[in-house]
Amino acid sequence: MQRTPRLLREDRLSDFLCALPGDHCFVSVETKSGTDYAEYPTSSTALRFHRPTSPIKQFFLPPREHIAAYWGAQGLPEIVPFSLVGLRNCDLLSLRYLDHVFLGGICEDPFYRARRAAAFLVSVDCLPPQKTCFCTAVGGRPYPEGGFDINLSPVDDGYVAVAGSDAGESLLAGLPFLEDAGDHLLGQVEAARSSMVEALAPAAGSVDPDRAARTLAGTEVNRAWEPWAGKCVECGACTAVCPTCHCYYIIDTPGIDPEIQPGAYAKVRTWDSCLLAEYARMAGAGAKLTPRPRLRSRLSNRVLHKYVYSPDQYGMCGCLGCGRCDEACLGGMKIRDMVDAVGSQR
Amino acid sequence: MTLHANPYEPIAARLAEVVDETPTIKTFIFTPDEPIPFVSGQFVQLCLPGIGEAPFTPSSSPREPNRIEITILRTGAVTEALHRLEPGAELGIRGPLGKGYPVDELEGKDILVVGGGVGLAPLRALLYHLFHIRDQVGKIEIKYGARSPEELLFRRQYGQWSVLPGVRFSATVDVPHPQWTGRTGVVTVLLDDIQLDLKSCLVFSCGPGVMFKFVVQKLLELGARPEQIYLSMNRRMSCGIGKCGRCNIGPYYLCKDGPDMNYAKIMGYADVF
Repeated sequence: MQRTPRLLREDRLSDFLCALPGDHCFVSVETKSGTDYAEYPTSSTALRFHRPTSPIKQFFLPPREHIAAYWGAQGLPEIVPFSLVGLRNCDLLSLRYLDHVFLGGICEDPFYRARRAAAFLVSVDCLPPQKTCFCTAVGGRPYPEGGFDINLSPVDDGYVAVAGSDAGESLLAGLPFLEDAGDHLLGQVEAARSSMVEALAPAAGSVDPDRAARTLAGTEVNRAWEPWAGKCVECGACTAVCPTCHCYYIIDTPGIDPEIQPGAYAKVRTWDSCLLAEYARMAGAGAKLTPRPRLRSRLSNRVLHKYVYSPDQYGMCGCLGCGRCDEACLGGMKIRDMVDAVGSQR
Repeated sequence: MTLHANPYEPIAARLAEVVDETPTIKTFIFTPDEPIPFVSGQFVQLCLPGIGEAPFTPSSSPREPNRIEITILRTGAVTEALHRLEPGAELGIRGPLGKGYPVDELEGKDILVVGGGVGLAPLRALLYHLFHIRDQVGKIEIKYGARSPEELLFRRQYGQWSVLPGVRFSATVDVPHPQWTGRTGVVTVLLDDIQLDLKSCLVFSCGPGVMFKFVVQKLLELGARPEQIYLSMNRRMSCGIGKCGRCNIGPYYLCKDGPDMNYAKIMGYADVF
């Protein structure tokens, strides 16, 4: 299906958002503490603002969800269609990463699969960058290149809307209030994208993922991590906001709905963090119950997973340069500084 | 979403029989509602409703997918609860999970099996398989170490194993009692008496991490190469399908790529042992 660029005028944005498919529509909004997602309708839609502080994994891998019940699947939550508006390129790339994890490998995760199928994705070009953004250093761009249903590029009068899927093109083709986007608007899009790449230029060389994969390999228990472990307070904030961190743990709980299954039990999965001491602790009373008893090893495992293991596992770097972990770190650490310092001490 | 598409959904199983093996180890015999066809070395998650799940490798023959034996040391929340179960109890099984032992590579090879403590349990599933295909493999040597004579696992079977042609069995204990006439010391003391070709055999080992360290060191000294050695690695697991991130050694997830790992694959990661 041919993908035609169209002009969505600013005063028609709400009509556009109302036309999106699904039972829910979550848009990026401006809040007192930055950008986040909220259910539309909302008065604070922010498509020309920083990327949201929270990652979009929450929509595909909720922090806590029922995944099984003894015996049978009665009462598992229904997954309903929804639209997600305001995704940045790093968000779309995080889905590419999570797709490798949850749709690839030996079997699919049925819950992730169902949410992926239920989601209609509307992305935007980044405008302006966060102070912590460094996507161009790890091979990203501050504008989407694929993986969306519709992308919106901000221009003076509104947005240039382009479909990235047949579903997106069908939707755009059915909206009577969209106008043809002339060449001058496409020129504006290109100019804005170039200026964003330029704005990110100071960060562009701040980390080299190929070099990091070489210099960090084998540093699992290296003492060069020690000073960084000294700053880490083991809060797990970096893993919570990281769009590619996906560790979870499965626990047993009382049944999903006691009225449907009285006395029954169910399985819940919750987000987890590889930085926490108990994360990999095994049962027993032996000498070494966790493979990473030291914080420095847990810290190195997280960073190595991004830069060394992920390229092996999924063919892509696990760090997308979104800078969310830098923003969230209570110890004031920056992942690029760690990569640089440890890599150069070997 | 259909039930069978959900890898987190356990299959119901009934506990048919419990065998006391040692003061701390019992063998649980389960009859699952559906057969669980497994390769030796593959594991299952045993799910105790309301308590949780933990990974265990069957100790029974892979040729009996309807009657699965799992030999379990009492050591944590799930295993404490298991040890309290009586025959008739209902629980869940997820699996089989993992790759299991490289059973396609056994043909024509001498096999060295090195176990420590309850680590002999998953190795017994391999032994049953090896005994079944005995005419296709070379010599089989089993070296086993336990803390004390009363902690020796499956001791009623040692005699049956030893009389099989081409099979040698020897055991050692760390702490003997006065009646103990066998070897004393950790399992590596048995590795000085190996009558098979260490340059071409395959080694399968299961036991505590510290044992692996010394077993590997000794085998390499004796001339074995890392590629010949398979270790049943221990890590905490949860999903069992390579997604939850917990059981990694470098880029490998033991639940998906193991738990029996070729030592050559993992030796480069500094936090292996």
